Amino acid sequence: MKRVWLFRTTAAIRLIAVPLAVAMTVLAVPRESIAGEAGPTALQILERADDHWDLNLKNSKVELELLVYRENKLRTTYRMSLKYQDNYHVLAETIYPPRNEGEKMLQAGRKNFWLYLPNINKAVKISESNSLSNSDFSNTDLLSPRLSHEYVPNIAGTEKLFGTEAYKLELQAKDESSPYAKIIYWVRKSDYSPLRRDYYTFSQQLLKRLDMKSTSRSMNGMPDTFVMSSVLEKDKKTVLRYLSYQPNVTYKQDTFSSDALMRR
Amino acid sequence: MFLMLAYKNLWRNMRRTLLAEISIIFGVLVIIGTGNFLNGMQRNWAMFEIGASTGAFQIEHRDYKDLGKSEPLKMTLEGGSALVEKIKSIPGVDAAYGKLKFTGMVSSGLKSTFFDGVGVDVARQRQTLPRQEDLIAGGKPLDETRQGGVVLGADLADSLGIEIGDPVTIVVQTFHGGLNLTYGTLVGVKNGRHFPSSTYLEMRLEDAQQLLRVRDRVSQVVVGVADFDAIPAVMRQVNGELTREAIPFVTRGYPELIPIYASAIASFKFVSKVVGFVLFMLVAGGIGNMMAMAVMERKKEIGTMRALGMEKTHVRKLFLAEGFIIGGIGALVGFVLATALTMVVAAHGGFHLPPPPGTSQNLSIIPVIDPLMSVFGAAMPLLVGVFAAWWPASTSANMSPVQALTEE
Repeated sequence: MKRVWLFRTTAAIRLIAVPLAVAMTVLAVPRESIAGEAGPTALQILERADDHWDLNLKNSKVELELLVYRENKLRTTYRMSLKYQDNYHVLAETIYPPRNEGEKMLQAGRKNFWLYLPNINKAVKISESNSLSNSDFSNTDLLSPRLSHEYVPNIAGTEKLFGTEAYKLELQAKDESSPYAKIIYWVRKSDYSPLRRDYYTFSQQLLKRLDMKSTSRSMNGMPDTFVMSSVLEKDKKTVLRYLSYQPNVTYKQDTFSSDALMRR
Repeated sequence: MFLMLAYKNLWRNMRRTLLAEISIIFGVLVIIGTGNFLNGMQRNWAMFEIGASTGAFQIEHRDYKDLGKSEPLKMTLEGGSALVEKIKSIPGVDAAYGKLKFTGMVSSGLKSTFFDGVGVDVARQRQTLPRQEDLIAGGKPLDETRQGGVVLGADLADSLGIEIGDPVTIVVQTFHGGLNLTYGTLVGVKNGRHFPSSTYLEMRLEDAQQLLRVRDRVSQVVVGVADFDAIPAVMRQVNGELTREAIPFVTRGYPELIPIYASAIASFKFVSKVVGFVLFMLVAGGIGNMMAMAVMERKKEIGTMRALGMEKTHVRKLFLAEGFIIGGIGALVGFVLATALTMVVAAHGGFHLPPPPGTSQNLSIIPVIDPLMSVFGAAMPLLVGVFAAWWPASTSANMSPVQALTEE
């Protein structure tokens, strides 16, 4: 009798508890997750994609090359050295060509961008939306790659991109001060590596497309080649490549201050 | 009595007096005529620019001049529509419209470049600036009912390689700092003398406000006044009304708004003063020479007058009176001739000049009587006549009667 009772009780528990557990699991799944699947949230995907780029750059020094193409021909090449403390403290210095050598761009806080021109020995405040060295990248595109602070993500599905399965995120600007109203962001499913961003304006028009890839293992999986193309001109693009990467660099406190800009 | 005597003495040598008078009349004619011409030119230039581009005056944010270049959208006036209506209701104001200035990138699809743009209330602009369509060099002006129309500076359209009817892409930074994009169609090209044709872009105010995501903000309100001479008074009234509203504004009159206007007019006036001075010297020299000759020729007469008991001061007064009369006749005749000539030329539409650079309409310079120059031109020979006659008059007065009568 006792065994029968125990068996019946256990069965009853299973009859009630399992569906209850499943129901609780379903209810507990955040809305941003893909329906019907237990997966990462949109914010988690975005954070992990940002980490691929931003986290690896934290406390590092990189040298990069900007190749500006117009009408499919290479028009200008710039080389820059970037001192990167975090998403809001970056110092970029142009080292090539000679006519632009010494020009510096500083991000000294959120939406606090400065440009230093050595030929007039003057530092001026600039907008994050200004073009970087007349390329298709804006200052914020390069110096503030982390998007999770400015945009609210939603998962818009999955797609195949560059032969790989990718999450498709739709990012909406938190406020009107963000440079782009909307960004469609493709992130590789397997390792959350960023693949592509489509930047939209407040009029919901596509403005630019950024394709990203990682070609070198020495960059810790961080994308090292970026191709930005603009709708403004046909056959116009800018290619950005990280040439060298030095992690774990410690910077002095005043490295990222506007006063330090004037120092040679 | 002196004046009658002096007048009779002048015509004793009619040829010399007439020659002197002709030179004085010519001098007065030139001075007053130049003044009237410059006055007319100043008015016509101002009226052209007022009707074509600047309006009689403009109202803008008080910090716009200093900070407008770096933060054009922040230095705007809120409630643009209500502000325009308020200004229009002020007596003396004929019309007004709001405009919004901004910058960005414009692209043809193959090329892109920077622009300095302005959004205008098209219908009201037409009322306020009746001549602004003179600046259209190709295509048509903006149509207030048609969204998406764009007018470019002729040089900008050329550099982008686009023609009327071609699409353009416009990217701007919005009021809050984000980026926005719109597509438009080129409907016309403009040339102007005070906006760079290589960066000029114009669109409807509503389109610009939507693109920039600003509600009802304007950079300037342009005001038209029917009576040119009433502009300063209307400006004062508008200032008074808006000060009561506690709007952070400043008014700028057309002399400040028309590029190089103030400096050009100052230069012309300086040149006319130099010309006036030169003529002053020539007239003075002519009268002085004539009076000196008269004193030399009339030594015995002077000696006789002195011998008969005429005081030195009376002799001096006589010659000064002659100088005064000769100057006075020249001044009167010259003034009448200059004024009549001005009126005749004005009645026939003035001087017709070819279109100024960047416009398509001929320019007429209608001389306008300049009261100040007229007074100066008329007074100058009177003063010069007395001044130039002073030395010969003193010489004659100080002459010894015995010496004067006995000299061969």
